[in-house]
Amino acid sequence: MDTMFDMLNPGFLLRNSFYASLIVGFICPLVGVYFVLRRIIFLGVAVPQISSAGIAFAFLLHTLGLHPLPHSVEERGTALLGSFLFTFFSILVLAILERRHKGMAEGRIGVAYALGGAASILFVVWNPSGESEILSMLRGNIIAINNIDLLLITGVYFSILIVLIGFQRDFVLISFDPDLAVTIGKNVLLWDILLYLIIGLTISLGVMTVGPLVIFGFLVIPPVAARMLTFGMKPFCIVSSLIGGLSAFLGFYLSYRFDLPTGATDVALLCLVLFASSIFCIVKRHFKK
Amino acid sequence: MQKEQSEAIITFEKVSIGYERDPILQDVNLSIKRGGFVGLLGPNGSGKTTLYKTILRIIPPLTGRIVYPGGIPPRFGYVPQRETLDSIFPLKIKEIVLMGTYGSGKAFSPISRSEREWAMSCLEKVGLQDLARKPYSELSGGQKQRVLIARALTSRPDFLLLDEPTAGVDVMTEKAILDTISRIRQELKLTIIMVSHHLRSMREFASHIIWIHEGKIVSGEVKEMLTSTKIEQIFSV
Repeated sequence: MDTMFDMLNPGFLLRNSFYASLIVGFICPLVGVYFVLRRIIFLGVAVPQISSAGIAFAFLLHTLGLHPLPHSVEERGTALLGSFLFTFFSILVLAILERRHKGMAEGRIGVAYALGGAASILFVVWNPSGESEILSMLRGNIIAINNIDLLLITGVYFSILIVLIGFQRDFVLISFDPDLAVTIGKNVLLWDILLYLIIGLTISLGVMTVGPLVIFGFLVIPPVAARMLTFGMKPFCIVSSLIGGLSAFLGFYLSYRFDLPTGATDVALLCLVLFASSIFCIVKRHFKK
Repeated sequence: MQKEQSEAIITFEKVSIGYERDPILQDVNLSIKRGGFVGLLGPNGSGKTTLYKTILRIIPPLTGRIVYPGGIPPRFGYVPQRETLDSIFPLKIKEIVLMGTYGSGKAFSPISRSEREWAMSCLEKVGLQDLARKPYSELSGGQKQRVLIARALTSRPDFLLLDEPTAGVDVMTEKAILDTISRIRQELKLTIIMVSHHLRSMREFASHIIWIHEGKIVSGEVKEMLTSTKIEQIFSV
């Protein structure tokens, strides 16, 4: 209990990491809802990997003397820019090919995953300096979050939350029945691009904060679990977000209390929730019969 | 079928339709009368869905002109094949029906009470008002089709297009769906195009037929189109 009070104390040493963890936990599942509903879950594996390649590429350019951003925001700003651009364009290309039913989706995603991983390693190896720092950013390091990072995560993720709530009807419509959306006058391409932009921002910032594995966990596992427990879009989104947020809270508590890695603890907890949801669903179905 | 343009709700003038510059149907000249019930017939892969989506403005025509009275397209109501909608979406029936109102709704503001009432009245027209809170994925094929008809009505259409609404349902359900469509058409004075493979039901419900066969379009009134001589003629095109 003392540990819990420690964590909730405003003077808590790791408060930035704790708050960032909660923000990622509550908001990522709301974006992940569209991964599950559009059946693009495996994009959630491949795209964070490509996002990592973007970070490594941005650092390589930086080391080679190309400085696209002002000095004050250079390091993390460059990484974020690289990560975002790689993420956004890869998800745009993959999703367009998916919509047009070109080629084999699993093959494309597998290639994207392998390419993202290989490119990350090559960009790091080619980089003559700062290898350990880059590797830490590629894996994500939630414990090392400073005030500026927290401000950035809060600003970006809360903006995403507002857009997701405000335009939920449109995002659901273009995902569920794009033909109806065109018929009633929606520009499906523009809405798709806005959704990919949101996904790109969520992943690129999330990868730098908690790493590719954890961001994949928070994007996908809570909506998959919530899908088994709820009906109706609002309950589905709210329960997804609650599963993510509460797992992040409990995961942080357990990792702090028992000195465990936060990301891995979060993912393990999410998998437990998923397992419990599956059991609940099976029992419910059994009694319904 | 070739009526005065003033009576037509939509007219195709030398229109080519298809995907990515690859025409499926060429030189289509077609006029659809306001208030008509048109059956769109043809084998699988003949271009029925492409023509249907071109009318709905989902696919732009490759060449030619589509003319509307006064230059303003009618309000379309769209009823897709129910299999094209993914049951992974955890949607309730009322959420699906309300989608028809999304064209007029504003972001960040809830759907108005009057729109909700209108959506419920559309659900009532297809006889499913008691199921509004049920999950869509738990409905039978016939019930799903009725929900999609209610959703199309919610957008207050002048022109309702239905893509094989009776595919995969039993004879009784087929009859019930077609009776509902026919009743709603008279009540709301709608123009209807319905894609179908069922000649029997087309003979009973449609006033006109558009038949696509081997890249050609033949159209006319039901009584002249669905005679054995005409059908033989179409198949020898």
